[in-house]
Amino acid sequence: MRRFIAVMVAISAVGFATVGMADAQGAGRPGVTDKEIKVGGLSSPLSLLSTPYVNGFDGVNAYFDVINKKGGVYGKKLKLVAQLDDLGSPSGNIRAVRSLVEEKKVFAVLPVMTNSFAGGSYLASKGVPTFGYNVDVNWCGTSAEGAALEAKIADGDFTGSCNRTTLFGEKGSFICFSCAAIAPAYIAKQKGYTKGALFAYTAVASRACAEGMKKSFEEFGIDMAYEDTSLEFGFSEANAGVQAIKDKGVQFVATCMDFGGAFKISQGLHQAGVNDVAFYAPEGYRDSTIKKYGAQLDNWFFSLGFFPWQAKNQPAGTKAYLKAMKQRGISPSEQSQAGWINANLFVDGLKAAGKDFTRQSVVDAINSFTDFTAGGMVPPQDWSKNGHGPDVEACAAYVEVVKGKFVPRFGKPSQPFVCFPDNPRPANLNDPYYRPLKAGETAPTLAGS
Amino acid sequence: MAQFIQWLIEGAPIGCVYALVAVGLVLTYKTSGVFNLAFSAQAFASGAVFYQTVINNKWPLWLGFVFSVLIFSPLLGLLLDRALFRYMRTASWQVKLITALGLLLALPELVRLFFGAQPGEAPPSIAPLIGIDQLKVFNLGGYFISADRMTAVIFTVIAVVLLGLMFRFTSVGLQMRAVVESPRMVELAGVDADRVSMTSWMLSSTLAGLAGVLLAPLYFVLDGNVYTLLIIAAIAAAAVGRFVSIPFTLLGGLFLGVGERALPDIVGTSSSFAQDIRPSFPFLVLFGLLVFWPKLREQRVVSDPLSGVDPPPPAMAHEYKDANMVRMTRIAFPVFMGGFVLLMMTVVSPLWVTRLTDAFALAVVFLSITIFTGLGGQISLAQAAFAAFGGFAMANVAEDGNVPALIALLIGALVAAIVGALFVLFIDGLPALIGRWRRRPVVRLAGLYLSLATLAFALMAEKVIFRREEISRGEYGIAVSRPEFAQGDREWFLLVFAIFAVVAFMVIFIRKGTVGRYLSALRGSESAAASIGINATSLRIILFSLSAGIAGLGGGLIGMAQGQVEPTATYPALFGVVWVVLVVTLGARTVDGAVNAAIGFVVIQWLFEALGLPTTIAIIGFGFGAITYARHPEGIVEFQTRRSILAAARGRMLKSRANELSNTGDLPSTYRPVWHVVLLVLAGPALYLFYILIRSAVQGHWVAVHSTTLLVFVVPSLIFALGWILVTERRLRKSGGLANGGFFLIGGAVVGALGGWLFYSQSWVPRGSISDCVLVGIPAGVAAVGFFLLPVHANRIALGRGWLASPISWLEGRTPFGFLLFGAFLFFRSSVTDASSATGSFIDHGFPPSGWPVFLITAILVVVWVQWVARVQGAVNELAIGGEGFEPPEEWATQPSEAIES
Repeated sequence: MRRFIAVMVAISAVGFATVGMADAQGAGRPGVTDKEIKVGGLSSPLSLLSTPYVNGFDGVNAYFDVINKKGGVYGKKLKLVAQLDDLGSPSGNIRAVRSLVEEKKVFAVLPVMTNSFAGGSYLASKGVPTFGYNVDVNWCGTSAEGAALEAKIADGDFTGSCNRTTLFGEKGSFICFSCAAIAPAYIAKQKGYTKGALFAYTAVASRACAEGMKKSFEEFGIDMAYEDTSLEFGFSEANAGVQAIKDKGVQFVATCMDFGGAFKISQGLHQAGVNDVAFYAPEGYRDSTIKKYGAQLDNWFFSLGFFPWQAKNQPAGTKAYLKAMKQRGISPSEQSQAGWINANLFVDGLKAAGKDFTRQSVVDAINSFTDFTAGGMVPPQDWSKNGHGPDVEACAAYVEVVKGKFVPRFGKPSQPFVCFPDNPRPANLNDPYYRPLKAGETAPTLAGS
Repeated sequence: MAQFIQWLIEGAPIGCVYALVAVGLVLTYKTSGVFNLAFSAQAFASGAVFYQTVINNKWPLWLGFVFSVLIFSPLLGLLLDRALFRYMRTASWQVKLITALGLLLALPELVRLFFGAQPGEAPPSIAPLIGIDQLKVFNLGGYFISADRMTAVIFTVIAVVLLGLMFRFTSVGLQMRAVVESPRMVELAGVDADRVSMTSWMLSSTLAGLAGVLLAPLYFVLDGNVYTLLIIAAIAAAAVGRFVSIPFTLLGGLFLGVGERALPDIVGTSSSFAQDIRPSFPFLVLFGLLVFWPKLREQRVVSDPLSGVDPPPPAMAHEYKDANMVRMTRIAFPVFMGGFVLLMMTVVSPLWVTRLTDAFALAVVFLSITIFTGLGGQISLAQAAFAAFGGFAMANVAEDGNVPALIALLIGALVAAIVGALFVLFIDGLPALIGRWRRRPVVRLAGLYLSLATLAFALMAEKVIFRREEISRGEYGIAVSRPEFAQGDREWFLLVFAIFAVVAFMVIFIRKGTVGRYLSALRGSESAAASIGINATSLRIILFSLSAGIAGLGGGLIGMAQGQVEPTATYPALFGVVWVVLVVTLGARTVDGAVNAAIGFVVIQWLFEALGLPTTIAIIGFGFGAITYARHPEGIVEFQTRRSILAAARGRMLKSRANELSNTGDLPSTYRPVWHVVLLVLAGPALYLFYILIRSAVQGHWVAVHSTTLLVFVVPSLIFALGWILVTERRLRKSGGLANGGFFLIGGAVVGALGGWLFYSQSWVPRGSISDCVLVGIPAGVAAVGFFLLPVHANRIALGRGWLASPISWLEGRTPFGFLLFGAFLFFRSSVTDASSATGSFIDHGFPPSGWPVFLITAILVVVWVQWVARVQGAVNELAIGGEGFEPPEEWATQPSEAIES
């Protein structure tokens, strides 16, 4: 019996060692055949903050449909072969990312729609072109690298850049939560509000966002009359804040919360008879919210990193996206649009890399883009310089809810993006410039550009 | 005073909802003995049903309310009582707690599976039901209260009044009050305790449902995670009433609601202290009450004088092994482990190496549960928190790179161990000191209350400690890297596996050594243990610190595997609940249980993912799996091991008797050695696997799973097996089995044929004609019936002969039948079938190949199938040669599944 087992083990060892050697051999263009280019994505369907991350897949599929109907890229159809669930955890994210690359054999990973992108370092190390919705430091580098970049920015040094240059977020690959956010201060200034309040969750990212808003309020002379950063997601008790807002005559409430949290506070104010306070929420600009709450959202402001869907003279990209969503019977959302922008950047990268594209050549091609706008949907992204690092300008489009409808605000006709130099910071918010630039217009010289 | 009135007005609505759930908790705890932590899940389920019916199905508000609160909720309570908890009245607190925790996990996932994963936004209010405009705002002396909040108060008052009337004026109410006071006395008076328990379950579930519907608009979101934390507030409220007094429980709920409202005015809203204390207020209250209110912890001893005396746990399965089996194990175990490591280091794909490495890192944490629950007999729900202490300590010291990673891991474990020791000193030592000062002895926190304290501690640690900048270094957490020599996947596996092996041997060593025996004595009776000189205090410190230290070590490994430790995502406190449920279900007393739990936790999720099924099914499975704990407190793995060992012993005895009969020429012709039958059944799949391996090795790539190959190798075995079922069935029927068994088989064939036709007509089959489908359906139907029919025959024959124990039970058919259905479901999913037939080189697919789910399920099916065949043939043999003079081992009669059915 022992001899039998020993023989079996020896046979197994030799056999498997041979297999192991085969396993170690290299591979060509994974996921690319004569007929198709396979990509795969992941999301957190059960995201805590009820952000509809899964909508990102709709955007990618819709864009791929448009391209495939035109014959694909180099005659190859684009196919989203996997839509994995990372369970919203870092370990789940790493495993999902590795499954896409090693099991599903995808050429590129898109979209990545999650708030915990721990698999970013793996994808970067493998050189896999990766596209997604950037709400996490892992799009740029490790936590220490992200923190170091933020520290440099706080010191006025905008020269740092991310190490992970194969990862492409829909709004650039670096996001600075704790940096001073211009948008809420700009809204307050435009509307003449002088007293603001701030609400945030105890979650660290929310608190960091609150820090950024506070800095912005202080920088541009808005009095922070009340601040509550001790709320928990799903909170049921905000009466103290409501009372304080009422007592202190607050005109403008900025939140670092999901839409639901911000709306709950606004409801509390309405119930206390306070109806003239304006709200700013970083999230919630989607058709479904306006359909559901309509005029209850009047006097709410949203800042957008993309061309508002209600603005006139829409660019080709926005038109195509909205048309595709309508055809599919899907309500437009920031997340599905992010998927669309991701897919657009990927396809542009494939085309620029040439017929014999490889992962590396696609990445190189994208990193040479100086003016990517996804057909005018977003302000220009310069992937050759600051796409993987701190922004040199702060551009945002604004919408206000008026009589239950989103109405673009503060921009100019055909130029919805209100921009300021971000390096160095503007002394005040009185003199913006607008994008997209018209013929003959020039942007101010930006230090990092 | 004015401010207090404001707090009262504004805080009471939430307090009312807490109180409703807490009252339900107390009702069922006292009438059925179950501390139902799943109440929040029941509240969530009712809230979800209400949302679904009113918002999505557009039902009228009143109809949605009636259906969700007055029909669905009591029915859910009834179901839980009739299907589960009525059988647990005499079960240990561990069984009840684990079952409730299982439900806490499974119910919300089940709701999400039915109603969608996204939380429901803006749930409807039931204010219009009592004539209040939803947008109306009440002005109470200058304080505003919304319609939703007013509704919560009104409904709570109505519920409390109705409850009071029921308690005061109905016989059921009187009985329930009496059961709350003294269940034993009530039973002695002839009251049907089952009926009282059932009523209280329905009633309390209705209260939970009402709370779920009232709470949703106050939270503005219908989300399972938010509801889960509701139970902590409810427990804290119930603790105020010492888990007995309903009026004080109501006051407790109000206190919490008002306290939550008052906190921001007292501690502020933006300070670090406020950020710590506001989200953790209910946990702090609960923890404080459990630790500093001596009367609360005395509850367990006043109710039952024998509550502190548990019988010793049954012997471990391996103790049933005979010398031959022990020798075999000594040889086979190292060979198996060596083979496993060899495979992992060579042929297994890097992705799978990573997956299994994650499982072994998790298994290290799970071994801490083996120590705490398996040896200590207590249940800690704070193991995720201890893992987090280890992980953050490791990351902090390793971050700068000055401390080598391995040393950092050990420091992490040490820190967690110290925290564990401090925890026990805090919950035992501090109250003891206070008790000494008051000249009043204090009972140690143990059992259910200890579990609740650990849960409160874990949640506090998550909200207060791990979010601190000093611990987690900000929003991004801390990046950590593996040791230099373990950067590669395989090297990392080797390191984790080695650490796991060391810890596993340490656990075994502790279990067999003095500490293990002392702990065993302590869990039996603390007083008896003290009387023979065992120092309970020092043992508790050892138990907590050892368990926490191991969890901390595992936490460090998990952090290193992920490359970073984050304040909330890496070690969520509620993971501790999932982990405990999983380990205890599979076996908390053995290393095998921990390993199986960890591998199951990791691999099953990937199995569902690969099969295109929602991964939440895995959590539902883990949750409902906990129900088996009531039947097998030793754990499924241990139960199966013991069963296999006993079956082998039984087989040897039968063989010995067969030899005796053979020597005298009395061996009946119906006797067939089990291995003869098994060999023929197994031959096909074995040959098939051999063919696949050889052909793959020769061709250098994975060979397709080809239908012709299957026909040649597997079908003959299946035909033989079918023939064996038919022949055996006939033989048993003629020997006194079920007289009309043949009709059942024919019925099975007809249903199978219809099933085949259905699969074809509905295009559930990716390929094949209608005749193929029917031809597969007929034998499948016959086999499905046979799985149950043959054991029933055998059971009936044994009953007819007056045997005290049957050789087999119809329950034996459940597992193969379940897998037959599951297998059919999977094989008819075209995506899976396509994956299984994919070809490609080793380079493309690695090991396991892309169709691994099919291979895995096929392998499990074969094992289950062969086990069933072996058991049935063994029973047939026993009937043939058993009877007078055949003495089965004593343990057989104690196996519940072997009990004879009349």
